[in-house]
Amino acid sequence: MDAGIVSSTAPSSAAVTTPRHAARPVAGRLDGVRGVLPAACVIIVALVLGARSSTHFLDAGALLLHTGRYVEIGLLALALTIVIINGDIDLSVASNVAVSAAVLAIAYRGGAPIAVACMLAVLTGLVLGLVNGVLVAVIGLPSLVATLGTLAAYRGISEILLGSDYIGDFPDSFAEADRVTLFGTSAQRPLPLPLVVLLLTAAAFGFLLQRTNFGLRCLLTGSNSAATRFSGISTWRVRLQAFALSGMMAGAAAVLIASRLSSVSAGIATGMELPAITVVVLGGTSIFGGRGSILGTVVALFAVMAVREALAINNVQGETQDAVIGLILIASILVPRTVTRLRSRLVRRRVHT
Amino acid sequence: MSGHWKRLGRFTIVATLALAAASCSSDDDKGATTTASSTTTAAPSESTSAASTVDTTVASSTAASTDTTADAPSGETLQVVYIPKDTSNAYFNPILEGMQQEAAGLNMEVTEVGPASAEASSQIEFIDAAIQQGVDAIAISPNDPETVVPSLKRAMEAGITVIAVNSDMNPEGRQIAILPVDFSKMSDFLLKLTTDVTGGAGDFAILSATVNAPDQSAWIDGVNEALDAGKAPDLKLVDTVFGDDDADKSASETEALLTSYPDLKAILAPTAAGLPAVAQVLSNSSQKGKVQVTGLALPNSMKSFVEDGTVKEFGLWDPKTEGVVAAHLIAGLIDGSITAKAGSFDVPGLGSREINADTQVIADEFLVFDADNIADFDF
Amino acid sequence: MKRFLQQRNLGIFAVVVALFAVFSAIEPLFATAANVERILRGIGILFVLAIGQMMVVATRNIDLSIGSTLGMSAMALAIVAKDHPSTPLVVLILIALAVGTLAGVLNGVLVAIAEVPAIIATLGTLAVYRGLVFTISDSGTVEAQFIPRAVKRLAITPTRNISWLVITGLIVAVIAWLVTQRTLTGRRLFAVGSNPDAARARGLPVTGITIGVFAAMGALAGLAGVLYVGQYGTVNASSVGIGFELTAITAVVVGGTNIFGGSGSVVGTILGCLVIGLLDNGLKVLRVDSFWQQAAEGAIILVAVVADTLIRRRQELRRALSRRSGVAWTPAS
Repeated sequence: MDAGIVSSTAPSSAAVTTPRHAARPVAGRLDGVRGVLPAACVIIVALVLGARSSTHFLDAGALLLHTGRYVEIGLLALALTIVIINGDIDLSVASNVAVSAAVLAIAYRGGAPIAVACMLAVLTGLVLGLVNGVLVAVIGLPSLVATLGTLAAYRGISEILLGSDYIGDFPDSFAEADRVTLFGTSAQRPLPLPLVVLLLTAAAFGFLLQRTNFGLRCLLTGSNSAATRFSGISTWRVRLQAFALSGMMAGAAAVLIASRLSSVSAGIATGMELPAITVVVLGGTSIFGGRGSILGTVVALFAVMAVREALAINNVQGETQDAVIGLILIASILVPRTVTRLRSRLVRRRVHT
Repeated sequence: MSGHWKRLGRFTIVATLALAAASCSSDDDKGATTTASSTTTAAPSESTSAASTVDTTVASSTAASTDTTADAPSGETLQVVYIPKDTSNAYFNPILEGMQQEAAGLNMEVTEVGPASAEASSQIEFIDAAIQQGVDAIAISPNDPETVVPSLKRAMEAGITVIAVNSDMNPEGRQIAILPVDFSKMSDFLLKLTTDVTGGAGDFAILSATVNAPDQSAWIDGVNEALDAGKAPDLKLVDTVFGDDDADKSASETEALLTSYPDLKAILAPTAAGLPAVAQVLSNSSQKGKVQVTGLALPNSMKSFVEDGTVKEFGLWDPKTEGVVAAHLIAGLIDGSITAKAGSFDVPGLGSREINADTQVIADEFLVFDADNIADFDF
Repeated sequence: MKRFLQQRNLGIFAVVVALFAVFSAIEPLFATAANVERILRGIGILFVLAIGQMMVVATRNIDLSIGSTLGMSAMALAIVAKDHPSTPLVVLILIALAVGTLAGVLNGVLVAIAEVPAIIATLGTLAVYRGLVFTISDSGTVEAQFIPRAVKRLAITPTRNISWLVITGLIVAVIAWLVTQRTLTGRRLFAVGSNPDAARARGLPVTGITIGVFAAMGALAGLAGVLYVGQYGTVNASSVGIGFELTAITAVVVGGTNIFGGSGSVVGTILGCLVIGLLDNGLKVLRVDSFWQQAAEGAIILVAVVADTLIRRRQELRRALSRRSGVAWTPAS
């Protein structure tokens, strides 16, 4: 529906984010497909190598079951995609998860029904996200600085709330939701509940970004904030909304992680912001804003999962896994750029001869 | 030194893999074909380096994955995975050594794999991978008592023998736990160390690991109770701080203690990562010798501080014994000669070990290290 | 002195004074000479890292890998010292500096030549360099007994209550101040940061400057690695330098450096380090419950940054009004 507007704004986004390649012809849908390519290749290579190195690797049931660990990162990454498209960043998501999970656990321990506790968790996430949004969009702090501060502050709040306690003993209906499967419970390839949650959420985010005014405003805000402001769109509101979304997703991730681990302590989800940001960037979203796709984020999430699973089945230590993901992150930007540059040089030489 | 190179080799192989994967990302067909070739060249070298441990598992794991019984047919090599709290903590090396030393005689192969940091949920992926590999047993030193329980329950449902080594957890998550020493005697032992270094009178403070560390919390409660019961009437515990087993945090907590309590006589650090950090601060400080330092740590990590007079005496046990006991316990649980109930079993070379009512096994006795004996220990 | 405390550093200077006054009023032991020395020693490493980070941020970049770079340098030094106990101190220090510089140059090349955004390039090398720390140490620990006394002496208080840690930090600060305020290179750093395209158009060697500033950051992280070994004795692969990048960035932004480049001051950064050092030590000396410490630290840092932003925005508004048309630079919002 917005095809006309998109095509008229796309060149400006390309001009801002990649001045060297300002002449990119079609920055619309094709760009989305291209953005997914690196991550898709990583998935294929990881699956092939994993299968070659271990006979146990291609076990669909096991791999599906393991998605539970990545879904929480995925939920954070989906909302972060929007925040990063806006040209912001939210480093506080993992600490937000910790506070939300703490609220869930304390509410449950205090006698609230588990459903109410879950809603309180999502609400907590939303409120903390709004706090970030106010600091960034209203007061005007750089998002990196503001969320670096709330990263520490929120983790502190979770420590105040929980102290040295472990809160567990959740009801069976809530505990270990990652083992609940849909579409064929005992069958060979059951679909775990968290994965379904992730895919539905991703679909919703995809719709939000591609088919709504909000999504369009995000892309515009990220590509040229000043110009967008002058054209009458209140960029601060868009950014505030994105932070609120990010907070809400942190709340939702808190519900899933509390269920998966069946216990909550103050250190829960420590360091989870880094894999989430990695997934967003690997998915082709520009760290400077203005360009990005939900599909890319989802594919990148599965790429990270495929690599980690392939390495883990070969007993590769944790730190080496992290290093491989780091290399892939750099290479996902470095290699396409180098190839493009080499090719343009080749073309130029051919023209000359 | 060869270890360095082996690891460096594996690291570069994995790195080239990553680059190969990413080189796919060019947006034209040409790029894709070049990658395909580079992948195939990379693949064989990868399988030689990493798959060696896997190939041997194939036979036994197919038996396990049919989920009929945990018993491995005799003659098969038992595959055991040991997951430490994190891979760089020197404390867990002797445990692995102990397991590997006994493994040959028990027709067992022990692989160590673990996370880079001791974050609670970081061990889960290694448990999941072990289940997928269909190993025969998992020995784990849990980072916290609850977080890994759901995954370990899943492992046990898949017929895998699960034991906790070095600290216990929620009993639902393991069959038997091996504790290095009798933890109920820990508070007396810590008070004995403190009494020895202070002469039995004065203010002391405790530097613990993290606020969530269940063992340390229980020990410190024990110390408080013993003090309340008048076991060391002239010692006064003035404060408990947490160094998070991090050199930086432990050091700044120690510095703050020195400021806040000018009359402090001793700092007790019952954590193997924290004690060397506390000793380092005092070794650099003008209060060296005035404030005593004691606690639990590996002797190798404390040699220089005993030598320079910062530390008179500290304690621990030999973690290797836990590994030895663990290997025999795993073998017994799998062949059925040991069941996860109160009873006892025999560890060749060490004698009988008892399984108590809480299905815990106590591996060894406390050791005390001082200037006279520390050179005799190398772990 | 007035020069040192430019107007825009006044806010953060006030925070330092206020924190010191409040903590001393509540707990007299806080203000003792011994404790002040402890505070300074505690931020010696941060000093060195934050000053490097400030220069990187001034060029509109960021280096997230410095904790891992510090780890590589410290571990390289420790391993050489362990395997070859007779290595002289100078060689050990040079090894650490070389490792750090190499890591920094690689970051710089990725950012300036390969055009990978700094935040992504260094997020990647953060993990890669950490992997190398584990690899070269065989996932291990080098115990204090293997560290030569000459290295440890760096942290031992010599005469007059000032340790080498603090002296090194001060020397680095003075050099950085001279470079940024008194040399052409310094002014170029800010030019590159405030508008890279304009700088390039004007013929400034932007690529060289960017690689140079990352190399300097790497060298400083290497120096910090030497100080780390001296201060903590034991070097452990999973904990050496972990999270130091966040503390350094916090010090830089609390010190009033614009995260979007083009500005930054050594004095502000030093004051930022002091805020962190005072908070860290003060909350502990006051025996604030450990559960509350992190929340309090985060909250106070946020308040400091918000206050600083609001004050500076008012100053700029006033300046802009007085010049009417003059817009020096706009804070990217």
